[in-house]
Amino acid sequence: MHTDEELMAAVAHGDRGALRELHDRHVPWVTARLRRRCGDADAVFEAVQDTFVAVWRGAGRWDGRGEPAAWIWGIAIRRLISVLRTRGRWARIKVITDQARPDVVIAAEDQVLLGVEHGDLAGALLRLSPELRAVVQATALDGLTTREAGRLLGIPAGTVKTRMMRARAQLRGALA
Amino acid sequence: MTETDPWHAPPSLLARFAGDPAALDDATASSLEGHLVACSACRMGLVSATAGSVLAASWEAVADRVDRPRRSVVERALERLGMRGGLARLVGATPALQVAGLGLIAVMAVAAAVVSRSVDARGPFLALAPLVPLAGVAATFAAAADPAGEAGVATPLHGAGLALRRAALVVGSTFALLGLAGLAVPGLGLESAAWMLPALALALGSLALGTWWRIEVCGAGLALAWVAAISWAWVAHSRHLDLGDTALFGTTGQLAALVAVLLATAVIAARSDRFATLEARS
Repeated sequence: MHTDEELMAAVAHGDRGALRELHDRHVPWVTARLRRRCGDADAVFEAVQDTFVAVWRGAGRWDGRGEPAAWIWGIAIRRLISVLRTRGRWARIKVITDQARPDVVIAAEDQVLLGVEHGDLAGALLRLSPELRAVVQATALDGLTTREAGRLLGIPAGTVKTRMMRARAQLRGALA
Repeated sequence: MTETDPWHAPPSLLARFAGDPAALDDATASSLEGHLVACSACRMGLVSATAGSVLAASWEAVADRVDRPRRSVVERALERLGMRGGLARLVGATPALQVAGLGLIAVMAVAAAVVSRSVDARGPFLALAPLVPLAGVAATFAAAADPAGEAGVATPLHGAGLALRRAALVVGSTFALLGLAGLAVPGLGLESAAWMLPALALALGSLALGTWWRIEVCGAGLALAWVAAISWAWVAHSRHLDLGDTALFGTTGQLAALVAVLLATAVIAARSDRFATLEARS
């Protein structure tokens, strides 16, 4: 089985079969991750398509360093912003407001995962207001710039900055 | 996570991540997202939990676009400006912009040549500039130069709206290009805008006459008429190149051009239904 890096190189040379393989490997997780940023399934479907068309055309620009998955995600989140912007779908963007639903029991494995990756940070993140959490997610976790995060969330860049400052202060307080 | 890390997401967690976004809290999801970027095994876990039909449908849509010819810059810009995809494709596929580009280069080249001979560049620029939008409009409707012509006949959009929008696009873009070119020609002041009304008169005139005869023929006729007028002005101006001072670009010429513009607009408005069959005839 080829690695993602090998597939990327093949796609850069115009190998359509390699694109298909890359597509099948990455569509499920990219789709699931985008759906947590946008409640509009049509927009997500379109953004995922755009992403792999962009991978097809831009594979030659991948510098060969780092994970192809991270590179693909960077394209996907920006394609989603672009799709939402051209469609004027701000109203439908889902700012994640839900805590874990009470009927969902967090499995023991998940607890381990949280412990490994975030420690106390997970609890502190969940205690942030939904607006602040969305900003942290878009900037710190998705790697978007302030402006891109503003577009994704439908708020001005200045608001992203102030919310990020508030979120940082709250996290610092919670972790102290 | 590194390769030495033995942890992998259990199938139950992956299923919840792939399902309803509300079923997983943000912190757990963020943590898993970070893991997925680095762990191909967990990504493959999600793949095997995904229905083959979902992947097939997604791939079909991607493959369709990968196999399709790439859209031109003009087309994408028009779509971004809110024009419908099909219409943008038709407008973008017209060769007129290329013709306009060539015309612009010709104008610039002549202007540069004249300047290098230390003669006033204004006259030749004013004389040639009005021909560029005219050539663009004629080329838009000339069947021989129009690979999109067949598509234009076959499309339900085919009609007055499309023809006039194409013409407007060509006139607008050539005016913008010529305006920039005018800035590039040294020694041209505000009075150099004298080409605009004649240019508009010629372009609209060819469209108006085009409601009776083939547009490219009308365009050629008007171009000849313009060249004749220029020659006459040149001779009357004791064969001096500075045509900007002649009556053609003075108040008389501008008023005449304005009248022609108004006349042509009236004709186009009154006979706009003729554009519905224009491309089929030309």
